[in-house]
Amino acid sequence: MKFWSKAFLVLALALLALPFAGLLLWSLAGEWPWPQLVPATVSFRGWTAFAAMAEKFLEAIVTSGLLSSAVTLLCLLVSLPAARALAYYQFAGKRLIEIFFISPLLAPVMSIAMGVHMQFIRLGLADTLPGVMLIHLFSCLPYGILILRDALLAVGSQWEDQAKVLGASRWQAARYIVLPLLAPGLVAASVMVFIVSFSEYILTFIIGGGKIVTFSLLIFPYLQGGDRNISSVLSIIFLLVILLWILVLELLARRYTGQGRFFHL
Amino acid sequence: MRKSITICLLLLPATLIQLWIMFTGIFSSIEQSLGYIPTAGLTEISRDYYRELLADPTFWRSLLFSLYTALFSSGLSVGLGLGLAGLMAANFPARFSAQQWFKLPIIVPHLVAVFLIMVTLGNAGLVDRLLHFAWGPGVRLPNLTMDPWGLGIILTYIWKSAPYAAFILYTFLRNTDPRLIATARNLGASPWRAFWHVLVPLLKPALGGCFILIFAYNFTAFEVPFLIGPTYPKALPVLAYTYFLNPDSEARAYAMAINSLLLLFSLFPIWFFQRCWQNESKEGS
Amino acid sequence: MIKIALDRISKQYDRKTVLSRISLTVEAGELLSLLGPSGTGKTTLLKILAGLEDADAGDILFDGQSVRRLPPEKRKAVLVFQDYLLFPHLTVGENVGFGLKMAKQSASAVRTRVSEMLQLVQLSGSENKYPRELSGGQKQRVALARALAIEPRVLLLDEPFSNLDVLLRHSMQELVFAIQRKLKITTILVTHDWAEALMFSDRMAVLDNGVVQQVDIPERVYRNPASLKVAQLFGTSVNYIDGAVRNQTFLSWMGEYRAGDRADGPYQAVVRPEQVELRADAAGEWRVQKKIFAGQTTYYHIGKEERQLWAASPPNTRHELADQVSITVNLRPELLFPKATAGEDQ
Repeated sequence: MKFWSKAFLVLALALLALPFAGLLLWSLAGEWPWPQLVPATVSFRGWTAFAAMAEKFLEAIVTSGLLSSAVTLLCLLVSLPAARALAYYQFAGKRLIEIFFISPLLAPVMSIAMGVHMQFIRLGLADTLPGVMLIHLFSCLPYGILILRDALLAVGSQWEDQAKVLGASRWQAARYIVLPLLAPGLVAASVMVFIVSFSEYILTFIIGGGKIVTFSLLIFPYLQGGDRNISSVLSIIFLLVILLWILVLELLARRYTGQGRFFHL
Repeated sequence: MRKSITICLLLLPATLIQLWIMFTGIFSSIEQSLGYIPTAGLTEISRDYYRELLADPTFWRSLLFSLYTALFSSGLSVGLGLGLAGLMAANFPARFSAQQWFKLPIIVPHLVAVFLIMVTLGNAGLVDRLLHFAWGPGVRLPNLTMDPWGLGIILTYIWKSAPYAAFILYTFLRNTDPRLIATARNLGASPWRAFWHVLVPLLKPALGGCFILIFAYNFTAFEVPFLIGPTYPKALPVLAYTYFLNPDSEARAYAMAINSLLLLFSLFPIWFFQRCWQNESKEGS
Repeated sequence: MIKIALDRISKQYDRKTVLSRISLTVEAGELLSLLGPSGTGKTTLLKILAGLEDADAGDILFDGQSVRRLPPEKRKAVLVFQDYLLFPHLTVGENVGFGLKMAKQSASAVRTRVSEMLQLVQLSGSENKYPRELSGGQKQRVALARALAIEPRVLLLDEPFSNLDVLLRHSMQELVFAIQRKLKITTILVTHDWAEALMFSDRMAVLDNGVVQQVDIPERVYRNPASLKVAQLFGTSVNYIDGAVRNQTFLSWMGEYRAGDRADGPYQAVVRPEQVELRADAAGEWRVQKKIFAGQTTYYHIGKEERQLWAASPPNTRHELADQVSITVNLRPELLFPKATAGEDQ
């Protein structure tokens, strides 16, 4: 029993990891005829192809990175007060508000975006960066609010009270006590929101109309097209950018709080 | 009084943004689906687009296809996730370091997940080669990309969501008091019965919530069925998108009719989620 | 040293009255303990005093000055929470110096004051430890040092010792209350532990149903409780005897007792176990049914036909199960309460 359940877990982990092995193999494969288990030759074809178009890709990565960072920042700024209201206050209609905030996770965001598109055209937001940011913000808000609400609940409001009775003003309490204690939650929320925004394809395409070229938009045809070498390289770079963002956030949070490791995703 | 003002101010920014986008999105979808698209020269309100859409077998095939892939992928994900979580909790009650690995698919976007499934389970993919290596020629995987049964879609979603469900449920299991299981064992329950009769009922709200979140996403998401799904039947969001891109202005009205129906349908997950949640807070108090 | 006056403080939560027109004064330098069943708004009262909650009505005066509109950070009424709430990301030194840093004192002044405070609570030299490295008693002392560092006008203690085991609790009580006496800080202590309240406070206030039932020095609250509710606070194994007063005499199955100047009517007498004296007596009508040895005292449950009583004896008296005993009940008129209120309460 013990053996089989462990074997099952190992198998599950193997199935989880196998695709990544495939990704690595294909990114470095040259000749790999069917049905050989490993590539016959090593080649950097995918990487050189990427290097040849590096300028185009880097531009998209920078666009995406800035866009998603801005969305993350905005999302945290808007989510934090709402999360605070949900975590620390009791009020009539709280349930309704909570369901309302969660509803984008349960409703077709793409359909809403298609509908909103017409209004965005009228307002001059279609095909622009602010328009894309706004629709990203909309799809990211539930993640920000839910994660921060749970983080605030876990921290509790008593620390702020304790700081205040010791003479800390509201801002001092926030800066010296609440934010450091909330840091893991802030990192978790930023990571999640960034991933959602950075990975977004269809909303960017609908509202950006192809004018705002994010990294997702750029690699979409390659993933569809089928050259496994190039697709593998692009996928690896995609994942690396996300990992880099997580790393940067963790380091920032660690420097700010001066302790601990979170590895929050 | 001052407290109510504080609460309102705290909620205001998020509520305004979300309300505005949701309201205009829904309103405009319905408006356009009824044929009111002045920019395209359509100003006559009519129900014809709905009538024609509902008479079109393509629409019904797409609806069924979307429902089927979403139900199977979310059901299997939650089931597998529960199994994994249970095994982890049983074998590593204190802390399972590998649980971190279950978070990995979260950082992999759907686009990349599709490609990962292609290189692993697709034609001449890793598993295909492994099977050949293990059992010799003649053993091949069925075609999983663009297949009419949507197996590629379902497998991609399972790869993405099952570990996520496992992670959530495992966290839940670890936060329940371990003495509950100890008590059940002490009263004579076998490990399996203790799990099934004590923990699973406690997990019900979490299971339901997990299921409906995954279902709602898989039912309405575009990328995966577009990349790895068959050309016929198309998943409903893909169908809507194809109409949306069609330069013909009447096609846009069809797209919006599909969107409006999808939006209407989303009342079900919202209701379901709300119910799970109610149970959770009832048991919590 | 300041004097606190609460003037008709009221507070409701969700239309449920928690505090109802509470008026109370705490003299300068006094230690007042607030006692009462859980859920009677004791902690709420502390939060209102600290400024963390606002009362619905009424006023709070520190030395005659209203502080109700003063935000918590300006009140200098420090609340020490039950679970200490040491900031986990700050060292002991940073925790103790927190309030001073917020008041923008110089680093060297903070350092001096921190070491002074740590010395006061007998934790010198632990500035650089983190809260997670401390034991329960040490955390408690750091929390106290942190509160005292800002020279508070009022110290508010919310069940400070309830998380400590019995032995540690006694030594911490000695230490904390000795410091309070030495510094003469006006202090309000919320506690569940009636023995603690009796032993250490200058005066006690008993709160029940959002109303102050009695305020007095501990001995008088114990001996002359103002109501049955107050009497019920102290100890276990208490006997309640129903009876009636006629002509200044309490009549019950136990016999007749002097009832002081009580008016006629149905009454309930509270008889604490130590008021029931036992004597070994082969012809006694009472029989020992149960014996509970509790170290300093031994409790006996005795019975005569359907009558039952609890008695407590000093350790030198020894009765065994089934022994026959006779009893003397030292009923006290102060512990007679009109039955109508008793019926209401039960």
